[in-house]
Amino acid sequence: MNDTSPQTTWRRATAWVISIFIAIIFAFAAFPKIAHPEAFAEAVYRYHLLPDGWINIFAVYMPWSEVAIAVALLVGTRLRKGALLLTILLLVMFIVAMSINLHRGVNIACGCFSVENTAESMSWLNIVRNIGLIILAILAWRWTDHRATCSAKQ
Amino acid sequence: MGAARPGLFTQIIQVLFACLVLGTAAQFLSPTRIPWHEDWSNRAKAKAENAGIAIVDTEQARAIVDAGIALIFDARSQGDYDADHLPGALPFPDAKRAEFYPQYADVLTPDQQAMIYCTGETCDESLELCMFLLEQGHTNILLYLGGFTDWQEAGYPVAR
Repeated sequence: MNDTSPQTTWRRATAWVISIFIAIIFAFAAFPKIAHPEAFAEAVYRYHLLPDGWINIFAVYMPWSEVAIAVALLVGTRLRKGALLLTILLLVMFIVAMSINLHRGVNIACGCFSVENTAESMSWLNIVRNIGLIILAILAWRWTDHRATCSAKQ
Repeated sequence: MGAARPGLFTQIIQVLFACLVLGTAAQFLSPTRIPWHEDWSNRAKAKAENAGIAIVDTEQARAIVDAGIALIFDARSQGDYDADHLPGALPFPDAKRAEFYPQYADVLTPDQQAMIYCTGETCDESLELCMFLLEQGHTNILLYLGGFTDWQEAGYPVAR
């Protein structure tokens, strides 16, 4: 079994690049939410998806989950798959939340990278972007332990 | 080779644990921390009162609509307005306020009375639009917090 093939090297390197990329995006996304939790809680409220009592708890912990994921993705491969799975779950949750409100026709700011309520209204582009990130996360997952196997073509 | 990588479940638990620790620490240490619980549904009312906006209830709203002196603005999306709205209401989606505001420039003088509503207490588009108009120098703005929901519940007529 040859696990230092060029393909393996490239794929593992790509998994690293993707992981760092996602980590940077999540860190940037988390920063304004942590700096302005009041404004972020209001953004969460505007989605009208969570019961009142859960809004602040979500507003406090969700950005820190983005931070924890970002750190896990940057410190090596030890926690990477767990972090990537959580990444995908978060992104799916965002897609569902945005889809529901786009379907409702509600014009609210995404709350993704800014907590201003005068930020541009969210659109289907936000969802497409998240789908792109999910695809990258899946690739990084698959290529984290990439190994060229002898019986690859079975 | 180093120690074997922890299983997937363990990895997830570790990341979530870090999230829990960080978030909880932030809640106790951060100067900008928010309360664990906030009365969001009544927030619109509290915010309006703080800003000095006059709030009207459903009966008062009915009287205003019937009197026909005030401009009635629907702060919801165009789609919601088109479906149905208060009689005599004009569309003024808060999300598109920059677009709609100039259209009403000639009728919306600084002291012209206007009443704004949206879906009800769970939406704050009417409140946001009120604050915007106050900033533009309009002094006679009323906020009908009960909105379209309360209006319908009261059985009052709607227009299409």
